[in-house]
This record gives sequence, structure tokens and C-alpha cells, in this order.
Amino acid sequence: MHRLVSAKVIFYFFLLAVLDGAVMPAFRIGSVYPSFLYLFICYVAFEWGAPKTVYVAFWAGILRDLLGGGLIGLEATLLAALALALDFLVQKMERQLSGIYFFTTFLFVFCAGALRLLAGYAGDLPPSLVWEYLGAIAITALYTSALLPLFNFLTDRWFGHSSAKQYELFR
Amino acid sequence: MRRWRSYYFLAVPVIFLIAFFQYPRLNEAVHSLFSTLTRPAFVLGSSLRDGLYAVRYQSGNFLDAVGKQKEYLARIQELEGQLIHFHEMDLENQRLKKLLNFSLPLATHTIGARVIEEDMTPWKKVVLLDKGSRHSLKKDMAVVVPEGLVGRILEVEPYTSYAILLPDPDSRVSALTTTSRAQGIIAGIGTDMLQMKYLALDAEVAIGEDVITSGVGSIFQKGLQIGKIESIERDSDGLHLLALVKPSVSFSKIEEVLCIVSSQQK
Repeated sequence: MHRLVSAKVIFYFFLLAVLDGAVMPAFRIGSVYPSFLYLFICYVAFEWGAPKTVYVAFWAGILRDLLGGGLIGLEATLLAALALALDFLVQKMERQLSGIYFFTTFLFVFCAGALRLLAGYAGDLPPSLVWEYLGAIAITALYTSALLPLFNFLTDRWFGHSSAKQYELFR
Repeated sequence: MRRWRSYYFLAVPVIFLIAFFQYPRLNEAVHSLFSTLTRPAFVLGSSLRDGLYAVRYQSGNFLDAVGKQKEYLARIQELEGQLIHFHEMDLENQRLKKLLNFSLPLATHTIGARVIEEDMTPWKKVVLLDKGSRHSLKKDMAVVVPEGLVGRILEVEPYTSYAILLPDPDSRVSALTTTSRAQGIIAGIGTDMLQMKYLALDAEVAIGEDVITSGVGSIFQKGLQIGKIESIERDSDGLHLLALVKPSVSFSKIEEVLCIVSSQQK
């Protein structure tokens, strides 16, 4: 278990923000590119457990708000609320199911994007554009969740975790 | 208990949201502080991105150019011949314009800036530039590249500034078609295409016609290239024509831009 208020975590947060804002556009497909901050929230939910996800989601949201130049707190609120749902889902999900991490990450990123769209342009957009944007969000979610194995590997290495998991036989 | 603590924690971002919504100046100040403090890191990140762009986009071009070397050499010779011819024509044109008392516009004064960060939302097209008010950038300055108009400066911080690009859904530019001289408003829709709204029903707009800035309003000077008309249809209320415009600028590949400081006349 990792302490959230540590230089390692803060530096990693900042590195992910710089990667998201300045470097990842080089890996753009069409108009979409992946977000490592979203992946970090999912990583924390999967690996570090429930209480920490909300805090990480809050700071990731604040960083995304600061990077986007909009109203600070909007994405932080959305991501923190979604993180609670993500924690609930992770506690209930069957971890042995193949593709469950990928699917959960996809769902989280898609919901985050859709809520951001709803919060930004509720009722202002024609339905055709809404579908187009939802398509872009779905591709972003797909692209982001496809990078989950690589991100998990790198984050495990950064925080010095072993990728081998131990399961309790008895409680 | 720990679980409930995370539920209670949800109040923190809500308080942030309400506070920054209530006090926009505080919102701006925090943005300004953040962008100023993190500018070096984003400049470094954007250099890495430019390198990656170069590898991604120019390796293909390089291989293509090697294959067509002879063709390009012949074309360069042909164009050099044309250039001399056009230079003569330009001199003649200047002499004739002087005779007709035309006032030729001076070359506009511009400031170059690099894009160091982009908005991560797929439909939002706001970018962070590495120059700000300390470099004489001001709000609402037109932002251009050699291919045409890119957008305008949205917010200015001391060392950085945010620019809103034409495809952003909140972007509006008064525009004009070059041949039929029909006036309309170019609006972003968050995709690679732009919309030209409020064209008169009797406007004789043709597909393939160039769209330029009309100069109406004080932000953009007249004649900046915006794009070409791709399709025309009646808008949903049936009172105007609505044209789909393909922008002349490729917005996904912008690395450096020019901010127009002034367009003085002779």
C-alpha cells in the first residue's frame, strides 16, 4: 500500500499531467488521444483499493481542469463521483474474468467523457453532434484502456510493486 | 468508517467548484499561477512531442521524397523560372498600384509562439501558447499560420496564453466567400470541419469556393484564409443556407503559430 502524500506520487501525478497535456497529442488518432490521468485513477482502484481512489480522482480532476483552462473543480467533482462508483464496481467484480480490467477502464473513461460533455454543453448541441462526440469519447476510452497493460507495468515499476498477486485462501 | 470518509470527501471538489464558479477572478488567478509555474515542464514536453511528430509525419514524407527526387528537381527548376517571371509581374503590379493611388498594406507585425499544451477533451480546441502578456500578446489577437487563420487569443497570462481554435464549438468568426461575396459566420463544431452559418437563401455560393475573414468586427483583419466550401444545404429553420467548410489549416498538426499584433496601413 502506498502513501498518497509522497514525493514519488506527486511527481508521478505531475509527469502524467505533462504527458497528457503536451506529449500525448503526438499519438493522436483522428481527434482523440489517450489520457494517463484516467488510467492512474483506474490503476489505483484496481491495485491500491477503495479509500484512495477518490483522492487520486480528485487531484487528477483538478490537474485536468487546470490543463484545460476551464472552471476548476468541474472535472474534479465528476471524477471523484465516478471514482466512488468505480470503487463499488471493483469491489463487486469478478477479478478472474478475462478482460474485466479492460472493460472497467473503458467504462470509466467513457462515463467520464460523457459526463464532461453533459456538464459542458447540456442541451446546447444538436443530436447529430452529440452522437459524433460520444463516438469520439468511445474511441478515446478504447484507446486509453488499450494502454492499461503498459501503464500498469510502468506504474508497478515506478512504485516498486511486484506484478505477481497473492490471493488469500482463508479469511 | 473509511468508506464513509470517501463519501464525505466528495464535498471537497463540490466546494472547489462552487468557489471557483462564484469567483471567476480566483479561477483565472489559479490558472495563471499554474501555467506560469509549470511552463518549463510543458515546454520540455512539447519539444518531445514535436520530435515525435517529426518522426511520425516526416519519415513517410522523407521516403516519398527520396522516391520522387528527380521529379522534384525538375519541378524546382520549372518553379524557379516562374518565380523570376512572377517577381517581374509583382514589380509591375506595384508600379501600377502606385499610379492608381492604391494603398498597399504593410506586412503585419506578428509574434511567433509555440503550442505547448492542448485541451484533452476531443471536441474542445483550446491550446496553451508559450508566450503571454510579457511578450506583448493581448486578448482577442488573431492567431494564424501560413495556411490561414487558426483562431484567436482567449486568455493571456504573463508568460503563457490560451488560444481558442476555429473548430472549438465556442468559436465564431465573421466570414466572406471570395467569389459570390456572401457573408456568414464560421462556427466550430468540434470536428475537423467548420460550419458557415446565416448565409442568405439567395446567396450564389458554390462548392469549392474559398472562405476568408470578412473584417466585420475588430478582431480579425479582412482576407485571412479560412477554408473551402464542401457542401451547402438549408439550415434547420429554413431561413438561411448552411455550408460545411473544410479548413485550410490542419488543426491536429499545429506546432507553431503567429499572433497578429497589428495590421497597419501605409
